[in-house]
Amino acid sequence: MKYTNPIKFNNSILSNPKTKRFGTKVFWSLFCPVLMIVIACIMSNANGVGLFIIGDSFDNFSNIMIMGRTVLLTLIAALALNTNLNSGRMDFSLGATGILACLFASLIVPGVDTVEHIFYFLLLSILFGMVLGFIHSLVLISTKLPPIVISLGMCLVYEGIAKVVATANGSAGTVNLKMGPYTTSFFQEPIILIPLLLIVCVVMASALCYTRYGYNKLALVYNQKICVDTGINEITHCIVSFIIAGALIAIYQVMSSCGTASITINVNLASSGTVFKNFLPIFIGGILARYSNQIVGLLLAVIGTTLLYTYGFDNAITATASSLINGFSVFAVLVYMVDKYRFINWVKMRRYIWKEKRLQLIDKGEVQNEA
Amino acid sequence: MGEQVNVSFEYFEQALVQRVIEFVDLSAAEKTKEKINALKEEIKSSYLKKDAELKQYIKEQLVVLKKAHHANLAELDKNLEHDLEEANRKKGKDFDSNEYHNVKFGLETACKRAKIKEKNRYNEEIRELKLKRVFLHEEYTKLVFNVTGVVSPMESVRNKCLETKAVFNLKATLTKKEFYVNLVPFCMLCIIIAAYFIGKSITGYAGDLGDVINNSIFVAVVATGAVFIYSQGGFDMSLGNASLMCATVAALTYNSTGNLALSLLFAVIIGAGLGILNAILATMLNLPVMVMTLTMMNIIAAVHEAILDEHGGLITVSKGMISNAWFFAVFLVVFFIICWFIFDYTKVGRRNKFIGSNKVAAKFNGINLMRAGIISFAISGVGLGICGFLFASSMSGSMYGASTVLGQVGLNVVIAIVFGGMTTSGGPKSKVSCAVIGAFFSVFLDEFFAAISTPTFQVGDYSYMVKGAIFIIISLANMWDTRTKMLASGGSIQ
Repeated sequence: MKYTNPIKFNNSILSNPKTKRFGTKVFWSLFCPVLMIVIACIMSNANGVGLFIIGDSFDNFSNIMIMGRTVLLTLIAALALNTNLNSGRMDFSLGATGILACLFASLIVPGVDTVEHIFYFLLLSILFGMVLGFIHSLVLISTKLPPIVISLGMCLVYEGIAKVVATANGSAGTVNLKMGPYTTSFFQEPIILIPLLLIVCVVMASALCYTRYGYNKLALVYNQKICVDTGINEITHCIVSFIIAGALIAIYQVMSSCGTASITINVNLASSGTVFKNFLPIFIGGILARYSNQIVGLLLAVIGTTLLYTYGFDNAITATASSLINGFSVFAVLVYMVDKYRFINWVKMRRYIWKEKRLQLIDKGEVQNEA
Repeated sequence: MGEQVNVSFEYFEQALVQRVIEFVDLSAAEKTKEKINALKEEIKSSYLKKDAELKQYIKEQLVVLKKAHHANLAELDKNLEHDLEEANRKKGKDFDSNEYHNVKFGLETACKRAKIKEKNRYNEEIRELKLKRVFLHEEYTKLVFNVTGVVSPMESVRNKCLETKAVFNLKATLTKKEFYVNLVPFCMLCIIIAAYFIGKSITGYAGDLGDVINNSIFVAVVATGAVFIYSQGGFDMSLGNASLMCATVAALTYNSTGNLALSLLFAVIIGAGLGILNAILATMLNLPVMVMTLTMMNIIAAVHEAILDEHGGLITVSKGMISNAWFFAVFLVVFFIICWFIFDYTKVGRRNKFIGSNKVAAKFNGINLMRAGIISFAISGVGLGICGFLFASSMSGSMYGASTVLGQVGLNVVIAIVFGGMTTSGGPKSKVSCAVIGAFFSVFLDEFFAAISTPTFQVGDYSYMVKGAIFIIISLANMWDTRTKMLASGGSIQ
């Protein structure tokens, strides 16, 4: 056959498949958080309050830093919870681990009054958090009981120890830390906040995306038995996961404790509530991770949800309504995650049945074929 | 058709069976109430007569069997004695002393085995003899069902009682290890109650026993209903907030109507409704139960807070509701008996245990998981409603806010169920009694620690730690057989 039409090479960057794919990923990654921020802006402004205005303060920079701190807190809590939750290990003791780690650190460090003390407090808390996480994993491995049972038991034990330590420290409910001029605003300072955010993101992104740990985690999420049969050591993975979760929750608790210059002791499993508020960013982050990676997805989800719930809804609606919307949003995201393909298949099946019925009617002559 | 029926009826007269068959073939118009009652009465009188005869016959036969059994045992002893004498005579000639020792040991062992065999045969014959009354009763219920179309629950209970009586063997039960293992939670409860009273008498602890019993009853009622969820391997974290919501509904209904029955009814409806909603989300939409119930807990808490806000943060319960511990105990006993009957003697309980053992196998055996889930959550919801009503009654003439003893009921239920000897993964070991024993044990354990505290040494501070350790140890004991080599996993939620 004679070659007549020359091939047209399109050199435009926009029509490049790689660029297109990248653009699609960026669009879908940013779509949900941007939508949330827009809703938050609309709700805040409709209520006559700017998005970053908290109370009577009009210092936008400070407010952005407070928001940054809130985002980092939520991100760390979500990462800590996500470390075990994804692998099917619901951890009730996470909150108690953080509280106990901080409490142990507070016995060694005299207070959080100076920058040096805060750093010592942070490092010791991380160390104790890792040790407590390690102990939890050892109990889980040695007993081989369901994670939920062990985490409930460990939560009771850790809360009990925290109560004993706090009582020995002078107070049963709240342990006050010796505070200085920078204590409450320490983690809002850009020089602390930004490096800490970067360190957490880089370390966790490296661990989850570029190491064997991350690879094993993704594999274990889907079927533990097959993974174990193919040679993945689920026990080592479990220990590492609990140590990471312990370290992260210790950072969370230190940031939270420095904000109030106190450590609040909870009993009867009440400590688990602090961490379980973060289901929504975890689930949205899980969906957004398909277009980027786990950390970027989670970070975008955290920014979106924090702005929407902490600044959008709280400025416009009551706390009760905000909690209700949060709850229903979790359900909506869960339904999307769990039933998406079931729903698509159901729609396809309905369409197929409708087409078949229509063809039958055409055959019978009851309906005219438009084509 | 007639022949087939005649074959299956062994105890009743053919004429009566034939009359029932003829009655079944009649048209609906011909089956008048008088005819039904007359035939039913005839079957009943025939049954009672046959049952009395059978009872007498079994009594006589038991004596005969016992005599024969003793004779057989004596015969075996005599044979052994004879064989030993024979062996002794041959000792010097055919055997040396070592061989004689082996022969003696062999003969004794053979005799021992023969005795065990004889005992088993005797027990089996007794069982078969006693089961005759069960089969007679089964035939009776079959005939009554063919005539009336229904079998009364009392007949089912009687059948079960007769069967239990026939199968029960005190000696065999007392020699079984399982019997003592099942008794452990009850013994632990008795010990902790005794320890509480001893500690109280030594330290002079001023805690009110009535409050302890009330709190135990609240947890026990919710836990009794929750056994249906936990036996399936399910989980519900929203029980505490849901029971508080039911309490508020009961209190507000009573405040506006002054009617106790209406207050109870509304609380139960709300509880069952919340349970069914959970079941629909868990079974129809396949949402992970843990996350779903945690989210539901937050939603219910938010709604409850909104209701509280409308009433100034505190709900005042009008005077007049019965706040007597005996009244609460009656509710617990009635609810426990109903749940025990449903769980042990109906398909609902058997299905739940099957689902708890192996969900996939249960599904492929034709069990409707969705229906089983809805029934279980609904029963649990009824428990929530009753607990809410009882709590509102206990607060009669006073006020309560968001933080009450009910707030922690959800997690106390998990602890109670484990302390009672059940596993959180459900299965065949599930029992309703575990919930009640565990609930009382859990609450009395806390009170025991408070009772032995002194002003210089507050032992109560260690109670949570000890409770956690006991929780893990008991869980390990309960699940020891079911553990796998691989690390347990709850399955991914993403």
